[in-house]
Amino acid sequence: MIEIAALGKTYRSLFGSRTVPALDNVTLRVAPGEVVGVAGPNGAGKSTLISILLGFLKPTGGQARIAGQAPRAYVESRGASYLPELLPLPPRWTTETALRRHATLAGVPAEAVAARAQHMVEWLGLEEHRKKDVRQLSKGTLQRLGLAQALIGDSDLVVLDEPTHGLDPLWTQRFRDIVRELRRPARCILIASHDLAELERLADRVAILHQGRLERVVSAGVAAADEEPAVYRISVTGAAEMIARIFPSATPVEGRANEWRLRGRVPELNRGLSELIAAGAVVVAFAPESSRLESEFRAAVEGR
Amino acid sequence: MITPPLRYLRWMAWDLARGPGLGMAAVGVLAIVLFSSLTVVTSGTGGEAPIFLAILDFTVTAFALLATAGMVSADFTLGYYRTLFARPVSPPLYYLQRWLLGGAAVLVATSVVGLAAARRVGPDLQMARILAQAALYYLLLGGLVFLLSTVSRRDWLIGVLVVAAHGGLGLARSLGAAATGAAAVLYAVLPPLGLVDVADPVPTGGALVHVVGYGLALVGAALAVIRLRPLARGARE
Repeated sequence: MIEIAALGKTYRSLFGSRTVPALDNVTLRVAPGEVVGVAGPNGAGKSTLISILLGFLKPTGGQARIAGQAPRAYVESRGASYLPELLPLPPRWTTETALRRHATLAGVPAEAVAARAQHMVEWLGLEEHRKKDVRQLSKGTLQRLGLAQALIGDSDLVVLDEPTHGLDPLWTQRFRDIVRELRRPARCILIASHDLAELERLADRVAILHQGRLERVVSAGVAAADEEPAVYRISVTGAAEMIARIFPSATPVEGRANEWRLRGRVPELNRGLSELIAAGAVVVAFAPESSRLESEFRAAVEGR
Repeated sequence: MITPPLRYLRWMAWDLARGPGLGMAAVGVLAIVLFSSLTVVTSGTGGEAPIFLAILDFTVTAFALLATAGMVSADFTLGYYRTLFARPVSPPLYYLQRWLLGGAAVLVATSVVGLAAARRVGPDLQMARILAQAALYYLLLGGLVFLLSTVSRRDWLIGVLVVAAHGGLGLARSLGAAATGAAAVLYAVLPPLGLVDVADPVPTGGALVHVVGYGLALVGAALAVIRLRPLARGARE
């Protein structure tokens, strides 16, 4: 659905005396039904990429197409569900007004606008804030309003820029459910975030940008864990002496009793864990020491 | 399919009423208060009381400026375009609708103030002509500020300067000066606001073509700029 080919963007001052490259030769394809994360340090080009995909900016090289159309043509004809990083809404609009206006703009039929706004209020927990002005909302509530306005239409293109920024832990968890509910075969969901753990939970793949270049695209989620060996931490009580026999690569974690580091692929480790449990060990915790995405991110940014 | 954002017209009208509409109401009330405090002295030919027409002319200028000031630039400066134009909405059609709505507001406000003037002056005040001139004036000045608003936050200020420059040059020409050289060229290039004074007859023939052509060119240029320029200047702007 999204085809990005050799995309480049260089910002130029008015007379071209100063140039700032923001994107350089980025090629990426996002299939319908996919959730793709976009990660990168500050200034990596994430927001520029999003602006081009929404047709707000024109590339200086390459091209982007959405369902075969230029981004602006696509957005003007079918709309996008877009949450900007900084939500720009007039401060005197109320929560309810903002949702009704955006439902109207999104093409929700007039007779369904009120019901759709009400649904979003309930879905995003905005009931007690519906009559409040935008300027009165806390950061987290404003972010939820941003999500509500973004999702009030029914677009096949969903673009969320730092969607969990400002959300409390409960709403961060709820956001994961929302993304799961948003998935559908024809829909592309693009999530730009600094929160790698969140991207790893939500996305099928994560594109890592650094200094305007697409350094790598990493498969995320559970399926990816089967493919590559990784380092895990295990915390065990009872039959701890069996660890070294079952996992020859295990090394104790310094200063932490009953904790070891293990390296391996998930299927192999699972076999070892079964053996360990059968030998009477109680596995208290078992988790990746650092996620593969974090490792890939670090490697991409540090040029390894 | 791209359709005009007519579905949003009600909200647009509400914003216009709560924003520029308040300024227009204040100007209108001020004009009406002035009318009530003036003595009607009609001119020899038309019987229309020149001072009333001068106030009406000033009022229409203020209405046109208020109705269009920051029309496009505010959305871009404050970043509202990011949520507005992520919707299935054509930006040129959105702002054309807003501009037409501004014109309707100017005509309604001019009608109210004109009727207040007519109550004092009497039936000699030709409302049809005043409204026609107000519409043409909006086409020129409203079109100019619309175009300026696509490129500058100081659209209304530049609009005021253009009105002042045109008025100054027109006065100089009527006194026999500024009829040649750079001043004459400038006068010819500026929007022909002198042809659409509410005190004057509605232009006809070539003058009307000049006014309408100039106004439509301004509006067309504004729409072209909105269509052709990137909506954002930077990634987060």
